[in-house]
Amino acid sequence: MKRACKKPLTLFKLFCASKISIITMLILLFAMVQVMEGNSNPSSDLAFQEIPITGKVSCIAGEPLPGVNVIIKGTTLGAITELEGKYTLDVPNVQAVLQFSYVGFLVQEVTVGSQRRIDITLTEDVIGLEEIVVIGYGTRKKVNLTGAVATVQSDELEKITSINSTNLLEGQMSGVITKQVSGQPGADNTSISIRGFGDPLVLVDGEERSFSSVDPNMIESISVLKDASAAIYGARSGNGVILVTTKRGSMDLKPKITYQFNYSMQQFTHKPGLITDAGRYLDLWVEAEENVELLPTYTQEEIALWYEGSGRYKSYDWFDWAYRNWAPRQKHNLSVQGGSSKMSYYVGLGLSDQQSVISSDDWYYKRYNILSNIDGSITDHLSFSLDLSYSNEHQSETGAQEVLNWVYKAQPMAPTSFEGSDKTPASNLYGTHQRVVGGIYKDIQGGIDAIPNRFNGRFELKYDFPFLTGMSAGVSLDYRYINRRTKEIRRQWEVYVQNPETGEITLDGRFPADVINNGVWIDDYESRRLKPKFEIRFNRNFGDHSVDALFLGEYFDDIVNEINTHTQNLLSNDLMYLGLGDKTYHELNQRVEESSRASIAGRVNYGFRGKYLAEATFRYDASSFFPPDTRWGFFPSFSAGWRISEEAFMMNTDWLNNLKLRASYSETGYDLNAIRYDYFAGYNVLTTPPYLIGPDAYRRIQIGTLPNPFMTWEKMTNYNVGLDANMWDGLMNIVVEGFYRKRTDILATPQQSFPSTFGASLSQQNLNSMDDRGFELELSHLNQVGEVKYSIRGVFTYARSKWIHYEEEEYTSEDDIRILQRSGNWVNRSIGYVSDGLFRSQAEIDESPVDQDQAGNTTLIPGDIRYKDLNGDGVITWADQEYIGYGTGEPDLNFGLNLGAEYKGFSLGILFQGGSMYSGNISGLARVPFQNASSPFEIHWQERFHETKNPNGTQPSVSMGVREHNAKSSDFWLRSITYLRLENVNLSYYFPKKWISPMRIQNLHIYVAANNLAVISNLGIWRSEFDPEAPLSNNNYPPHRTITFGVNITL
Amino acid sequence: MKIYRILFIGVAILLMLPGCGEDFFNLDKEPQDMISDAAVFKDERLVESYIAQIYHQIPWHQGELNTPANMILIEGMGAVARCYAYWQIPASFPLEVIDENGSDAIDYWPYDNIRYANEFIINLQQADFDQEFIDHRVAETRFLRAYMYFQMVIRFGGVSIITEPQAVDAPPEELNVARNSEKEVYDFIASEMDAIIPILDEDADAGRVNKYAALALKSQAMLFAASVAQFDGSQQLNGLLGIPAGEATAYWQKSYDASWEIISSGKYSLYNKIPGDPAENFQQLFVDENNPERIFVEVYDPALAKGHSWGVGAVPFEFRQTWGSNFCPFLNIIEEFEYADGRPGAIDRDLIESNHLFDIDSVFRNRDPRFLATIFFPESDWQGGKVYFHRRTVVGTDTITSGKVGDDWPAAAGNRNSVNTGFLTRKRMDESEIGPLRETSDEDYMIYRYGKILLNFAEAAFYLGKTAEVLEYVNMIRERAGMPQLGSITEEAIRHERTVELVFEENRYWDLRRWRIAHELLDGMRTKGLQYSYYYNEDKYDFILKNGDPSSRTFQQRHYYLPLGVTRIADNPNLVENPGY
Repeated sequence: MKRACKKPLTLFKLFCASKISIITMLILLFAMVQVMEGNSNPSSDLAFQEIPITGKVSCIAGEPLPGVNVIIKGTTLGAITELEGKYTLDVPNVQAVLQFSYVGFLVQEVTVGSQRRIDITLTEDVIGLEEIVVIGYGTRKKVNLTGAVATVQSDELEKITSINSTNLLEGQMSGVITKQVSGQPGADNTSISIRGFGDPLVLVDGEERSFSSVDPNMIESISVLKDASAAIYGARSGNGVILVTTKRGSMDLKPKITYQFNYSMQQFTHKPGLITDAGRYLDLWVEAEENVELLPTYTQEEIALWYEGSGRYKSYDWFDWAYRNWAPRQKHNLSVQGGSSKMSYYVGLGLSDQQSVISSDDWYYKRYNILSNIDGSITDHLSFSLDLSYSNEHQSETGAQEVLNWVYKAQPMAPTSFEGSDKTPASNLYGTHQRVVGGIYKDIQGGIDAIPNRFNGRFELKYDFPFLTGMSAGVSLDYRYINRRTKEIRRQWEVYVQNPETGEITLDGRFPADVINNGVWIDDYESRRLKPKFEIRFNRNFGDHSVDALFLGEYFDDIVNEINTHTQNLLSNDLMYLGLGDKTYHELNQRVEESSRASIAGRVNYGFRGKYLAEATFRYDASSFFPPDTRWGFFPSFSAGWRISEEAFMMNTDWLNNLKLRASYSETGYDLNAIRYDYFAGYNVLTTPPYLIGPDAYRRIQIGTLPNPFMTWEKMTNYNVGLDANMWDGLMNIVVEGFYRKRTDILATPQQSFPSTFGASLSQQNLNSMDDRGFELELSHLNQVGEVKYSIRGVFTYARSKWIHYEEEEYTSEDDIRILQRSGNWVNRSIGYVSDGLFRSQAEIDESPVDQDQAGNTTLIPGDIRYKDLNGDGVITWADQEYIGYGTGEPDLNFGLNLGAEYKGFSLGILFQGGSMYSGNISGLARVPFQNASSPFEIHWQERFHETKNPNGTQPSVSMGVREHNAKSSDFWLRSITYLRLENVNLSYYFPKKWISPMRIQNLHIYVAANNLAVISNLGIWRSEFDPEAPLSNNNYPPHRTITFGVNITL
Repeated sequence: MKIYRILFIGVAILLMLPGCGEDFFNLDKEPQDMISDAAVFKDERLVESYIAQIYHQIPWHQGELNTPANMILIEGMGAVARCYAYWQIPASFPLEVIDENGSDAIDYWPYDNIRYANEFIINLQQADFDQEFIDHRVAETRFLRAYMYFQMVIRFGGVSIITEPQAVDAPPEELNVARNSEKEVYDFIASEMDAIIPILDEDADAGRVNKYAALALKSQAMLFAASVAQFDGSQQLNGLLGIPAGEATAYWQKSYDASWEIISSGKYSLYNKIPGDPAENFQQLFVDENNPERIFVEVYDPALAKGHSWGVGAVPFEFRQTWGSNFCPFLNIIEEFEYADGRPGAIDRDLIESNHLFDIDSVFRNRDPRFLATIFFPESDWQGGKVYFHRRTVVGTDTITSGKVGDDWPAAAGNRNSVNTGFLTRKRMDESEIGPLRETSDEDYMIYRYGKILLNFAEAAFYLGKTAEVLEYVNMIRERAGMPQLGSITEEAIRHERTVELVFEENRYWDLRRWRIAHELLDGMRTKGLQYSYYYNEDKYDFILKNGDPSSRTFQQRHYYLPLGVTRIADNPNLVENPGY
């Protein structure tokens, strides 16, 4: 497949191959020379007389500030204040300007002049204009940003006590849309999208890593790049980028030893209310049979006995049995942070341990994190960083989806245990799904242990050119290694039933149902990435002009090697090892995938008097997943900012701290949807089952899709305008963003030219296009009244996508256009039938002018759904469907409200979070009670229609068997959802310094926090059954509510 | 100066590095897990693997256990048995109204596999193998392709006949093929079989197409074509649907000839290894793989990692390890079986209504021996025990619903037996397989067996007026079954014989359709089952008649041709939907 090099490749080689080597060599040589020549201070070349300066830095309240950076402006020379806020420093001349900077305070500059003692009072940066924000491949002061970047810092993040980092962002930032569907330990990720764009690129310290496995306590900040600011990441940045930055030490920082601990109690946010008494269960069962004219299985006399509930007619609450009310979770984090004049470090160790609400101890998630970020200077111009991190996770379960299903399919007539026997009882007396008891225990049913180990290491050398101030170069090597071993054991086990009269216990069934599902499965996934990178930076001010430039090259070399093997039909149930299986069912597979990517990128940022700001970036990206001709892509971006508040005509407006107008444009890409190597033609080998001919078993081969030699990534064009305004020193702060994004070349299966008789699946092509538009609003108010400091921040995001072109037939009929056509329509919508209540009697069915079932309504019964005949042709057909609501994906509208207050040592944070403009579909057992002899909901008892027993019921009559008529996709089941959740409440108490200082404690605080405390939604009768973010169905593990107690202590 | 020194050393080292990173910086990577197109047609083993995939993708019988396309679906559609218990999902599929959206569970539109076969035929003919190998594999593939068309034509009527893979860059007018007529599809099957019969082997390994499999497909397809002409005879959609009545005789004749070629070859005979025990003989017919009745089979062998799940689905509750009691025959099919002396099998409804106590031996055990080998009824013997169905036991004036009566009489059968239709499926079960699990059953599935060919032959002979032959061959079947010989023959008798002989062999539903009596039988039909109370002192049963399905069935005139469905119509402007959808 070798072809002539395309121009970009030559370009890349020129830059990458030669430059990397040249620069690497030069830097190493510089280093050697520097080391050989000893520690010569370049400023010593300047033969000026030095002036000694001393002073003290304190805050407005008068407390001394240790750790403040004091720098001679335009140099790297400086000092750091000591414990009492004192510093000493030699300056070269009286024109020298001292710059005082400290995290959370406004930078102050003082010209030395005749002063020899300079005491400074720093003002807190309430608004955060001076805040240093992490952006792509660098940092920037917030005030100088030209793009839409949202950030959240560790102090805010620590109020959320989750152990899963993906849960930290709910409701925090505008433009970030979240949805958490499950609370299962180890599988409780919150899906995050930026402006509804889809999965963003998440980078942890610049490298693609698992966000969920980062210890939240080790995160310093999270930045979200929403517009052209992400474009520096090129082909993968189109959906926005999330940058997670871990903590680091800083030079001359007194060592801080911090221990953080919290303990949580977790429970389900929503525990479905099932009928747990056998009397009503059987009563409804018989009603369901009678409704469809089936012979009642139970007589009224029998049901009466179950209602009475004595002796053998006792009822059992399986939900109660299977779930505990509270499950524990704990988290420890121990870290050391500090630095000398040459070296700084952050070393942390984290431990998380989460149990499940399922009442066996076999469901849990554990994680160990180790992080070591070390920075050091080798010489005055050469420095290095060594970042190492390792995490080990262990998720244990027995198969959540199935088990949750079985709990719903347990019957209250079935006992949860036998008296005088430890045999496993059947949970359903109708011969299917009777295995709840064993299902939750690993030593009975077996289970799944997933153990990912992740190692990341980065070594970086950085050189500041002594002969060109502001110029620096760096090389780094990233290494990422992931090993994920999953071991699944399925034992064959037995359930029993007890004869209530004789007490005899007999075998009811063995599980799993098939010999081939009893055995050991091992999957060993290994992934290795090597990423060399070089960069050159130039950052300098020339009078009124400031320039910040970056040029970099990266290469990604990936190998994935996955081996999975299983063996079945083991010799013994107690010895679950690979070697003990039946040789017929041994299976061994391997997947090897090699891939690589190469990139060069550059950025120039220009500022004039901090007033006019402009930035341009470009990136060339290539991926081996694409054919050579379409492999390279060029992604440019431009952005500009105008700080109106800095203009002369605005200088008199004291109330206005900052007013900035921003605009950006970028062209980016997205390659993660692409099917890899789809431009190859080839066959896959399928091994099981073989096809048997005579004595021979033939493995089969299947052709892949027809190759597409032109496939490439999606392209996206982003536009953004933004306005930042800060007024009255923080009393009112506004960020408004408006955005529009156009996606083209979205991969889609070609439709138009190929009818169903063509017979081949075509590989995807870059065919579809859509656009997104929306706006964001962030309003905040920061104030202090007496000793109470408080803040209110509201965020609001609206984002909606529309198909410009969706690959489909050219529809001509009105019905096709309304029901099938997506081009020109919102992405987020559902199509279905329109319901019109229920038929409440046979007479209503007989009188119905509309043929509902295309069989003259002969299959209907009272209590069935009535559909509207939209086209008035007298019969309900496919053509009677229309738009019935939003889609069931992510909400188009997201909002959050963050309230904070501090008084003396107390700190209170309250976070509300909500969403709207999306739908949920009542489905599964909530829609069809008794399916697979399951337990109905209380709601079915209360709300089901019955002509005499419950004539006002709002739900269809219960029936045995699925009534396809009622199961149609319709607005009867689709609910448009709006919800508001009390996401988090955190009350902390910081012990006063005067109490803890004598004990050599720098900081001590304790807190109590609650997550997911309450939610209100418009789910109506289903409100208490389902979490509005989770699927409205039975086989989902609902999110957790947690109450947490914690302590943080820093020595 | 320092700078010059540094640059000098830098350049020197750079020059020493040969072509920095040409190998490391490599963007030309390739997928590691695929076999290239070129390799396949150079290696006989890969060719066999290719054709194995074509075989594999054909649903010779419904093979899924608990999905819409489940193992008992076709019998469910034909109101022979219910798919699973009524609270389980598959039970609803035969009750669905088939409408313009498509025919869901029984839909079949295998143009992907047809394309795969077409590609194979073209590529293999150009490959460099032994010519005989090429000819045989091509002929085999043409059979497989024709079989797929047969499965489509009995569902949809005329469908587009595509015998060459269409080019990706073909113009739309070429790609948007129109439907061929129903007659053209049947004729295509016939001509394809005529072309390959001389090429195919007389004998082939079990599972591979041989000459007689091709004759059997022809016999079957022509029987269907003849039926469409004979029992419908109308034409719809400008002839896309229907075959003129006048052509019936020709098709009967073709079917008759194909069947006769099989019969007259003498290679096959009715299985009759246990002549003294016709019930056991009939049971073993589907179990014993050393069997002269097998013409074309799908081979199963769990030891080679391919087993099926008929056993685990059908096995009665008491004998199961895991699943069981899923295939529940309706009383309607029970009554099709004659009593052993030839009396019609219906049970007097008045007796049922009047609390009559039935003796199991006289009402069930005393039937066609095939019944004993096809149906589990109360107290059927199985694996040294008995299969029970009663809901309760009455002793004197006491009604007992749990525990035991006396030493070994269970007061009630397991729920799955007592609340369903009161019968279970026994056919195709192997009594020696204890506690079948998923995919552990090894009985080969007989796609074509000699018994079926005899019935095809008899039916065709009947409409050709060869009454003597009809009687002879129907009686051959009855003799093997252990039933009294018929003295005269009627259309009804042929259909009856076909029903009881071939039940649970995915036959009845298609027969009802081609005989054009499905709408009379199935539309509005409420299937029946029985609930039993056992009278302990009398050793007899009280029968309660109950509905077998949770709703009545529909089969409208339009359902003789299933819908292609809105999406297929929408993506090809030249496809016409069948009438009524």
